[in-house]
Amino acid sequence: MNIQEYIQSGIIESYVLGLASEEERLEFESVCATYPEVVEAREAFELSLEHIAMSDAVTPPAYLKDKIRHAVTGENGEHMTSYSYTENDYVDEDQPLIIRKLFSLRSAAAAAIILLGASTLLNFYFYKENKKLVNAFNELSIQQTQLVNNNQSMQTKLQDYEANFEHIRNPRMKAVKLPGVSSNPSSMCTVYWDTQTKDVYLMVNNLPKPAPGMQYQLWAMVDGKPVDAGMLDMDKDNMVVKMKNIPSATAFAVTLEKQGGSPTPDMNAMYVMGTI
Amino acid sequence: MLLKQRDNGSYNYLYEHYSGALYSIILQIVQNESAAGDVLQEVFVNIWKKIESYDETKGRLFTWMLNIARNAAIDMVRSKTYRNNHRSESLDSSADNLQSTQLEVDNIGLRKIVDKLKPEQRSLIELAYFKGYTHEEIAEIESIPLGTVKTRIRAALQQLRTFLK
Repeated sequence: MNIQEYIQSGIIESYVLGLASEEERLEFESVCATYPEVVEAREAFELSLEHIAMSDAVTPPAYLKDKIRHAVTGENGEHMTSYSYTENDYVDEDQPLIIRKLFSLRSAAAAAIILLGASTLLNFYFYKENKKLVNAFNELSIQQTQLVNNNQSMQTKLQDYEANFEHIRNPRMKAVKLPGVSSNPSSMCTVYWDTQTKDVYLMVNNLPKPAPGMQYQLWAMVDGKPVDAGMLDMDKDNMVVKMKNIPSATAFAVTLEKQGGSPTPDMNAMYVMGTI
Repeated sequence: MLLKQRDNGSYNYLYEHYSGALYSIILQIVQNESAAGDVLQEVFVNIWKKIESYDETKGRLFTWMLNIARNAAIDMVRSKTYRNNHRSESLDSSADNLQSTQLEVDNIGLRKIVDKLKPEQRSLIELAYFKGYTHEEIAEIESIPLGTVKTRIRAALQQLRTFLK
């Protein structure tokens, strides 16, 4: 490369004035790194350019110095040691940069507040929802416990029924029909009497609901005399109730007695009777 | 370099020494005092921000600042707001006022030197340096081949240097 030609080519002016292309710039910089005379020529042109620019400088309006200082230091406040702000600097309308910053801060703050509000509402909504679910869960838990209890009592009842039914099904069981007497023709009971163990079971086919304080009592006729064969607990709603053990009897009857039973039957309050 | 410390003293130094020369080149490009003031502010903010990236081996500090000023001024002229404002201002202000400002900036600094060039060279430098068009754009505007634009601009720049000496 002929350096003198290169220097004269106009590349120096082009580079210094910012008119060179990217490619030309890179080439020029690498040439400068190798040829000090190019750097010299560049600096000579820079100096003459600087000289003409300085000699024809136009003093900017005086107010600009402080205005620009604010703009400059507003961006780099932490570097300023000998200049302190007053609050007015920030609201001065002559400071578009600062105003712009304030606006962006303000909109950021507004966005933050909106987000916070939305978040609070959502939190409240979720809190309510959660509370609802907890209540529903508790209710279901209670219902479940009730169902388990019901199921248990049903199971017990069913077991009782099954046990009683087993007895009735037993071939050695003797069934004695107790039809309603003339004063209570619609009443009907059946006594199941185990011929081996002599256990007595009473099934109520139909009996009126006893008045309060009154209770049905089963009697066995043994040697022509009524013998207490047990009280019937209608509340239990049992289909078949186990009564007392009766070794021998000729007939059975049910009378309505006072709660707890009587030693002798009230013959006027007899509901059903049947002979073996 | 002291300027890189960016304290109040360095701002004062920078402003006292260079604001006039930078304001002058900005005026030569935007040709409007209030817009030039805005650009000058932007230029100082940029100098302040970018001072770390200034590389002494690539040129003098003034050259670096001059280019920041030129670029900012060209950006301003090309910005929509400037074009709108400038249009309405030309309507508002009297023709006399406008002319006097124009004449003033035409007679200073680099423009004064550029004016000494031959007309065809002057218009190319005007487009390239003061209006910031690329060589390709100039070739299109002037309807001349790209190679011719490059040679003519180089020739004009060589000429400029002899005027500056």
